Amino acid sequence: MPRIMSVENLSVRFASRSGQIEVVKDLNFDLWTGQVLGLVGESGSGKTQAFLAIMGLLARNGRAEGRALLGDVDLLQLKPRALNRMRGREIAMVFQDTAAALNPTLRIGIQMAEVLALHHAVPLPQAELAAIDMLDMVGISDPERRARCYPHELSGGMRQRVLIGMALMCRPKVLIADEATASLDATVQAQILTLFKTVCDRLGTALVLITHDLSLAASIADRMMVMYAGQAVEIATTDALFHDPRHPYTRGLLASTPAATVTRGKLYTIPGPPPRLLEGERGCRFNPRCPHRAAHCVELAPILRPVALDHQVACHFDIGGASQ
Amino acid sequence: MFTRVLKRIAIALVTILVTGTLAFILVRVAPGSPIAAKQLPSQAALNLTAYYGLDQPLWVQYLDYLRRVFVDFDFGPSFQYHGRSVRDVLATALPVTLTIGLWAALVATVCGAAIGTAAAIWRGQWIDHLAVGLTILMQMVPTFVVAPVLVLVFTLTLRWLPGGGWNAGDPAHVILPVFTLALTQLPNVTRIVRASAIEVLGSNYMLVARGKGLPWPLLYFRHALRPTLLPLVSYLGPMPLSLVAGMTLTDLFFSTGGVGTVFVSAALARDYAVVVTITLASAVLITLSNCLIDLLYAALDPRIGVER
Repeated sequence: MPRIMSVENLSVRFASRSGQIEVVKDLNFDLWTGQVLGLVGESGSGKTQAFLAIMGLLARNGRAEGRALLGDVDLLQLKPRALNRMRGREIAMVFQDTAAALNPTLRIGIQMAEVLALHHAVPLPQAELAAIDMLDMVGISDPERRARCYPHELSGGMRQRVLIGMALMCRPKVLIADEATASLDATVQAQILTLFKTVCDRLGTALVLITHDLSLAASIADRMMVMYAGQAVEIATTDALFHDPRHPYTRGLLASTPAATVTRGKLYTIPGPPPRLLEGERGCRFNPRCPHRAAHCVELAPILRPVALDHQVACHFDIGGASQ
Repeated sequence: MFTRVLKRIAIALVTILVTGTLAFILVRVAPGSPIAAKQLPSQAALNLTAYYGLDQPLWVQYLDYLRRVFVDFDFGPSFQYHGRSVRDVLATALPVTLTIGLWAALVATVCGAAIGTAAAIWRGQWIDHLAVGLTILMQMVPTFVVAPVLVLVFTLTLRWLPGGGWNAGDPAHVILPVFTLALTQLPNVTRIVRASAIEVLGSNYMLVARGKGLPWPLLYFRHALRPTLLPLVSYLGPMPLSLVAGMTLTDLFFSTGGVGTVFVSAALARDYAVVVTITLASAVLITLSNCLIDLLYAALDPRIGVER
């Protein structure tokens, strides 16, 4: 299976009053044709910022370093004009918060069609026909009428489908879905996940599913990446991650996921506050909250190392065995 | 939509009527009278009072005035300018005022929108600091200081422009009054557009639009322009009100002979008919512009309009 994208040593820093804040640190991962990568981690773990950096959409005080190779093009080195040729065509992103992600003053048909019109030099009216087809494909009934609607005339679920359809207009090689189903109710969520899976199978798109919901990621992801404090702490196949988690944080996450079958007892929570991200701090970023902490964890940052086939962990210990 | 327009028109008519009535009562209640101001012999004064119908009870005069205005579209004679009707007086003054007012509104809106947008795009850089600084300065300095300074610079020092007079609307004579008046509105427009543009440019949908790979002309003109202008449009409604207020000073200072000058001298001479008519005209202008703004708003923002 061909590799579409490989991200090497991606770091993202923000300048702030209290110094440089490193929200993403030395991130390394690959994306493969037609595969789904589930990216999980708590709020502020750098999931979104990593991909905003790859898309060249960081806030003004943000800086990205490293390489993000799409084919043999490094997205981080591209000039604005060249980057614009990639965004929306080769790599697209579906944002969270559907209410704010669509322009309130433009009809959704236009908003979808303009991507195609721009990248494939199709006249706008013709591109709108393609937009109607796409609305149909993402499961919106009566697409001709919906294309003429303004965003406020659609429900949240429909807007989410519109955003997904919009991202797919140019059949991108990489699709990033950032909490794309977070605001939807469970049945719509399931439909949209199915849609994602179909799209990946049909178009060979590599999907990155950013979420804080482990079970949701597990339902369609082929591989999982767990992020903590801007770093990847564990990368594994979904199977391996759930049945043989190696990082203390991953174990904590799994243990703190409520299960439908257990009705008694207190839900596990990871102790301690979320991390500070100031640059220049030594040691493992998870060490203050880690049950396995040892002296060298405070001094030395662990690097991501393979522990099994297609399974990498950033921890000094080898905590094997079954899940807690 | 149709009933909504009807309702608006009805409210507008009531507003105009109430404003006219209040102006009519207030100007009569004020001490002094147009006849007393002329200091005539007593018999002549009595004759004049009877001639203008000022000896009638107030409510008779009021009904009479209403009938003349709404039926004959006649605003009565001016007490101050002999042999001229209010219509004649305003026929010379109104074009002056409308010319200056419309140009000032245009200059303030266009320049303010441009400066505000530039400040938002280069937020936190020198353009922004300059724009914000100038805005605060302009807001602090009143018209009666701005006007002499402009005359000092452009008339007395540089000798580029005449410092007053109308001269049948010669462009050179129009420029200084227009800019003086525009400067009263410019800070507000700049502030509103800057704040709105900052919000729009930082919005999620602009991030999405950039993520689609749109080049800047499409980003700014297709995606950002309309939502940015919305708050400005709602400011354009009350703008004629402050323009009318600011106009009096510029008109007096530059001796352009517009409605402002006429209004002030009419108020001093207790020229009842002129005062009430100008007040009425302002009310009509402002309600009309508010109605227009409502319609424009509905056209710009699809979320407003048909459903209510």
